[in-house]
Order: sequence, then C-alpha cells, then structure tokens
Amino acid sequence: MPRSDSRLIRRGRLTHMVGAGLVAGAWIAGCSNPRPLVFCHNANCAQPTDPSHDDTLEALQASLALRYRDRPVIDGVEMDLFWNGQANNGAGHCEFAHELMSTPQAGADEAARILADNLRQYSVVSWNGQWFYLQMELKPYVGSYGTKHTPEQAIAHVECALDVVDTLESAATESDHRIEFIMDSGEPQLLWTLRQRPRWLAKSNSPSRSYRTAADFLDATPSGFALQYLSDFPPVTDVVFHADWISDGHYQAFLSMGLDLTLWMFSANDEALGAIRKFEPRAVVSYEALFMRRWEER
Amino acid sequence: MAVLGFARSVAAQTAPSQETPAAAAAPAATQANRDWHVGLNLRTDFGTHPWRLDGGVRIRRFDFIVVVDPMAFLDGQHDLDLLATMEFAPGWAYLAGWRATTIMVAGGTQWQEKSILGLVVSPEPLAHGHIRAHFGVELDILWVKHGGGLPTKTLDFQRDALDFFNFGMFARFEYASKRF
Repeated sequence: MPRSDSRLIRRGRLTHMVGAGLVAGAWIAGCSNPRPLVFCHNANCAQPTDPSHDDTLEALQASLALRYRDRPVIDGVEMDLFWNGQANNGAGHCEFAHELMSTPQAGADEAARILADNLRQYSVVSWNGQWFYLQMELKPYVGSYGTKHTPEQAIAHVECALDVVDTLESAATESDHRIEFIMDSGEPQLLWTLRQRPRWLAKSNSPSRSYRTAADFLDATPSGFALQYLSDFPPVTDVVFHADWISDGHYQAFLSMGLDLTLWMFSANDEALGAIRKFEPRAVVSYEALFMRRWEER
Repeated sequence: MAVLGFARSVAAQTAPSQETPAAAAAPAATQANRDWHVGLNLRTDFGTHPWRLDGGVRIRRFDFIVVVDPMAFLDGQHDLDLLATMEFAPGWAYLAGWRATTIMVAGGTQWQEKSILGLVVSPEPLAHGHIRAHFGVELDILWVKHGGGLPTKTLDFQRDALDFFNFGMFARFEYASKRF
C-alpha cells in the first residue's frame, strides 16, 4: 500500500475516534439529572432531618429560611392539615399537624400567617423565582388511625384549608407573587367535599394563580388488592406517590390519563433518585430539600 | 418440585461421605475448587443502576465478589458492592456484603453506606461450568449518609426509617475460569 494511502487511512480512523469521542461526550454531558420542583416535606426540611419536628411552626420558619446560592432552596411547601375531632370538647380544631398528638398543636391559621409573612417579606420566595407552591395534605383521620370524618367535619376541614388559601392569596396579591395551591388528600371524601364548596368553585386559574387537586396514595399498591382506588377520587390533576412504591404500570396509567406525578420520600436514597430519573415527576416532596437541590444542580 | 430438590440437596450435603479414606486424605491443594469470574449484575428495581459489572474469586463454598458501576459516568452515582456468598446447599447460598453509594451533588459528594443480606440460588452452570447464573433477593439497610457538606444522617428509627430498609432482586450472569 502506498505510504500516502496508509496515512489517509490512519487520519480517517483518527477522525472517527475523535467524532465518536465528541458524540459520547455530548451524550454524557446531556445526561443531567431531572429537575422536578422541590417541596418541603411536612414543612420540615431544615437540616438535619428530624421527623419529630414535622408540621411545627419552628420547622416551617427554618425551612423557608433555607438558602442555596442566595436563593430559597425550595419551590414550595407540603404541609399537613389535621382535623382534630376531639379538640374543643368535640367541636374540633384545624391543626397544623401530621396526626393526633398528645400535646397541643399549632392551628392551621398560625402556619398560614408564617407563610403569608414570608411572601410579604421577600421578593424571591422560591428557587424557581416565578411561582411559590403550597401543597396542603388534608389528613384522612380525625382522631386515632381509622377514625373517619363525619360530613360536617369534612366540610369544616376543607373550609379551614380554604381559609389558608385566602390568607396566602391576600399576601400574594399585596406582594405581587404568583402562587399555586395543591389540595391533596388520601381520603376521597375530602376532595369530593372540596369540589362542592362554593369558595373552591369560585377559584379559577390565572397568570398569577393556580389551583390543583391531588390524589395521595398512602398505600403501596393502588391495584385490585389495594385500599385505595383512583376511581374513588373526584377528577384530579395530580397523583402523589411514594418513590419506592410506584411501578411502571402505575406510571403508564397515570401518564395515559394526563395526570402529573409528585413523588414523596422519607429519605433521598438510591431508590428515590432512581424513581425520579425514570419517572421525571413534576415535583418531589422531601425532607432533604438541600440535598435534592444540589443533586438537581449537579 | 423445587422444594423437594432443595431438600434432596441439603440431604446430600449432610449425608455421611461416601469417599474412600484415601480420597478423603488427599491434600486440599490438589483439588480444583477455585476459579475467578467476571460478569453482569442486573436488576430492575431502583436499588442500583440496572446493570453493573462484577468480578470475583470462588474458593470452595465461598465466593468473594466486587461489583462496579460503569453507569456512574452518566449520572454521577456509583454503587460499589463488596459481597461474599456462602453455599449452604448445592445451588443455594447466603449473601452478605456492603454497598457504598457515591452520589455527586453540586459542590460535593454524598456517601450512603448500606449493609446487604440475602439469599442466592444458582442453577446448574452451562458450558462445562464456564457460564453461570445466579438469582437473588437482598435486604439493604442504609446505616448512614455522610459527606458533601450535608449533615450526617444515621438510621434512627423515626418515621423516616421506612426508607432506610429496601428489598431488591438481582440476577448475575458470569463467565467463570477453569478451576484451579
């Protein structure tokens, strides 16, 4: 073979190798992590994680104060509203709480005040800089596990959540913030009740307001063997699922119904991060907001 | 049938040896009961990336395995496993090990340390013992997360402990060397 030909072949091989390297490099560079919205789990994502501080005013304030690169770490807050059917001699009390506790819990109005003050105080209130999100989980029980709402309690619980919405809407209007409310529950009765309340029916999406409802799967298997069925819920915009419990079948079903997915987790572990990569949810609910933010920004 | 097969294999394992006294006295060094192996480590759950590479040495009833994770180049997350299995009956083995997970985050790296306990079943090998398959279940316990400028978090049996325990299923397919 003439010398010039072998040189040409070598040059061709080199070009192929460089080309393949560039393609591989571009591919790897393109494999950044998904960037779902990050919501603070149980209004408690200040580090270190301590679930005993779930749904407390102190944890809420500390979570709102979290900063990364001079911006709020979170996009929004997921907080629990619990209707304590035993409080006030059975008249009930709307609590900012995860469940029935032996000690008095703060009222939902107190949590709303802190969130409203945060909106008024800062011009940038979320990592995304555009919208602040409040996901309110209406807890399914009014006492110990399994104690369901009466129709009257369901109305009172939902009206309490709507009071929180009104408080934050006023603050958002004053401070020119955009805010989205996600009314979330694992108890279909509460979302059906919400759907019938005139105050909720009067809400409509606008460039600065958004209202959504979410079916919260507290159960690992929303299938024929499950305790929860999506068909029991009124039409919703979102489903909330634990990152370890969702299967590809669920995901495909939700996708086909046009539902947005939120994944919640107790701990940002291999399984949770794998589920986020695979399902690319709209939002994640995590205690470890700072870890999630830095993972997304890698 | 599988249960019967398992019972038979345990019986065979525990039955008195039929070896002649001369064979029993043969030095261990002359018995070919070691090999090295390399293979693929696969899973469909999210416990690690779906495929990784493993390699190891098998010595009598014990297998010592290292699993590395080439997919770390894609997303900055690496799961390194150090595993040991002990065959307690032909085709059945206990599994124990450690998984060090490295997760790249902006400005640092977090490590998550897990112990692994499991059970492995291995069907008859193919190609004169050179091609082997293993199927297993494992329980991973996340003991501690540390590094990356984030607070260290240990398993503390609060509400979030649920996510510190995970079950997984895996398959390993490997090429094994000639026994030596």
